[in-house]
Amino acid sequence: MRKALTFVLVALLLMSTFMVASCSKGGSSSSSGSQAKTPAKEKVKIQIMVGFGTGTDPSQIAVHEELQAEFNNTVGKEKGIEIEFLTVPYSDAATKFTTLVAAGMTPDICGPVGVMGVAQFIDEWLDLTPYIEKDKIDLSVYDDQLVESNRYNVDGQSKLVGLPIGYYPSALFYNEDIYDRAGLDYPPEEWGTADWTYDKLYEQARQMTLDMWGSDANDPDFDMDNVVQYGYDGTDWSPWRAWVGKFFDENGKSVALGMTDDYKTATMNSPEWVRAFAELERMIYKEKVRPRSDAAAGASLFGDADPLGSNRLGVWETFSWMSYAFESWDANFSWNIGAIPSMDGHVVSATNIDTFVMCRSAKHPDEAWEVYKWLFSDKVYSRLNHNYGGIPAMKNLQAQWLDEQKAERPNINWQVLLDAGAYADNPNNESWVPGYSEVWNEMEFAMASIISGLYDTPEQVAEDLNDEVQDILDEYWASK
Amino acid sequence: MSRQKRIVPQSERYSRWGYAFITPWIIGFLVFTFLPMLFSMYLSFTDYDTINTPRWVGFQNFVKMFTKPEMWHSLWITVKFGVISLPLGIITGFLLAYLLNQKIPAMKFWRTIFYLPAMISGVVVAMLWRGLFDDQYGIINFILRTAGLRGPQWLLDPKYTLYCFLFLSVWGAGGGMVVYLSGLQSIPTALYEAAEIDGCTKFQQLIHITIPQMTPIFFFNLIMGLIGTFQYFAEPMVLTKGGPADSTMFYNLYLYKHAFQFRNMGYASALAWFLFAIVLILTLLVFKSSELWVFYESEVKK
Repeated sequence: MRKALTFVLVALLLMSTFMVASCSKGGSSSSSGSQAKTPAKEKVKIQIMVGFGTGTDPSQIAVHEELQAEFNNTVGKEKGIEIEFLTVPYSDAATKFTTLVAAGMTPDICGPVGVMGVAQFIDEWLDLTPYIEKDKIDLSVYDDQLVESNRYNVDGQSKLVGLPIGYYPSALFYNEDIYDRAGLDYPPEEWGTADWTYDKLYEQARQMTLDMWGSDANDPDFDMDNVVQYGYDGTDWSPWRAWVGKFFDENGKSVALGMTDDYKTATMNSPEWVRAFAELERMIYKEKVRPRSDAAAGASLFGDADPLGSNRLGVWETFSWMSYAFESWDANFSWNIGAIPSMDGHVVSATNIDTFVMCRSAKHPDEAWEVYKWLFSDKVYSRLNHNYGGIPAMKNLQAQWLDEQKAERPNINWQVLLDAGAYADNPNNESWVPGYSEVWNEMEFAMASIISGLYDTPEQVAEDLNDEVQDILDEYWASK
Repeated sequence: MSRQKRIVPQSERYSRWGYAFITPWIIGFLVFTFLPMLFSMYLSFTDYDTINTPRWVGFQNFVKMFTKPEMWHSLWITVKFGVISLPLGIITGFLLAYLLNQKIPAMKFWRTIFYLPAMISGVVVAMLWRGLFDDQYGIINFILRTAGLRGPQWLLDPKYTLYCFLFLSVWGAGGGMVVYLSGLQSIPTALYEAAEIDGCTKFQQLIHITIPQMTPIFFFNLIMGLIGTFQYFAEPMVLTKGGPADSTMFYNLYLYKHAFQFRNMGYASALAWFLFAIVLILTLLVFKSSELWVFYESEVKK
């Protein structure tokens, strides 16, 4: 028995020796190999990780591959740099990224990545300010607000993590057929008109919300448990802060952040936050114009991915990245885009913004910056932006974007989306706060409590949320 | 002096070969199970975000865990589910096996049909039931509507979501059925013949012969079911992701959320070890209690 155990141990030892030897052999050969070759001749490989947002469709990957070949055969050859796009599915991107960083294989550039992706890994991005200053990059070619949306003040340090590649404002996407059947005027194309308020939108939505017996939400016999068509939806498709960002404090500042400017004290039990919860409650249980369901489970009436596409929804307040659904909308009904109404006199379009970021722990920041500059050069920028479908943040390309949209769908009010830029939310609905994912989760839980009917009062929801978020903030600052 | 070759006994040679053959498994166990377990034990005492170096925080994660209402909520959901689904699954599986052990026409067909759900992966089962539970287009509410009843929003109303998972667990009872069936078939027929001669009814035979003879199988299924209940993950992950409003936030989902959504790997490791302790204690209790209710034919009770 003892001999047998010795045999096993020896076998284990031998195998582990082989494993270690083979690993170290690989390591040493690569390092000695790199030493043997002339360093100047060695090409630096820059990896661009795609998956934090758009860019993962086969057609989009094809564009990346074209750009990769183009760079490697031209600029890359001159500068001794080779690029490689690494595409991962959106659902795996965060895990893949953390694994790569933990393994010391950090990609050099990530993008396109939205504000949320930036916020989740805020410590991992490089501050581009020194590079921008060194190369005198002209930032005035971009919408100023979009540039600023990538500037963060984290733990007292300000940093600009990326340049904007495109943006996706939210607006009202509406079903003209449903409006026509209800005999209603379409939402206005102009932003900020005095009489276009949420009260007015609810009034319209009540007429478009129908139960299975044909009664609308104004009818006293309306059966809210058997609704076959809703007038309005939006809030559970957007982050809670996209909704709460419509509410402003007495100083005229949006309360979207839900905490003090130093990020140390939660203010999610403020009168404005309570009002935001109360307004959601009103939409569902008093006006009865939007589904009582949880976004995570999916509203079965609408299907999982596209409420407006179900042809059972009058108005959907959502982001313009829904462009992937336009084709199916065209095939099933007439639709258009309208301006978002005002809430207490304030008009806000929650906006998603895409950028590319450079990773702090990557090995070749200078070469990565060369690639970054190439990606943001006029021609490449235009192709990339076209690939992702957003409105270009580069101002001189916006007119061209509008012409292209009009040529493809002449009946749609595309100008509404361009004009939305002036009403973009600030702070952005996805912007960074300490303990980002946990705070986000708590906010979504509070919203889901109201949507699911699992709550006592909006005041209590706000109070509970504030307590939870304060705990997260305290824990965050205690760890610093 | 001539060296004498030692004669190795055959049993020792066999042992050597045996150990040689299981060496790859031992390596796999050490590298992919044991060492990660040790590492996760270490992580449970750290603050680790999967990117930066783990920071030692002592028992902080455990204190946080025991003081978090969300953790107790998720544990309560899991226990509530287990308390209902475990006996339900055992009884359903046994009754199915008992029925299919009778001489009925097309028995092989019925056995296959009832066993089929156990062959399908949890994710596929969840997708399937998602369609069935759909409050507008699902067949369950269609049947209820046909009967003049109003079906609830199964997956959207927190009052009903847990029932959906109970349906699912009963539907998969065919997996246990096969084990019961093999147990039933191994009961010596002489026992039934003797009982019949003594005038026992079928029910008396079930109570006094079948069930006592089947207790080792019940015991096995109870242990496996217990572990499975606390590891319940794929179905709620696909169907509800813990919602609506955390009404289906099973313990493992809560753990997953902290590990991979919030990247609190230290806290998640503490949760995992607490889960391990719960399962271990419950399993030991079941083992201890087995002396009272599990009957082994060859065993002589003191």
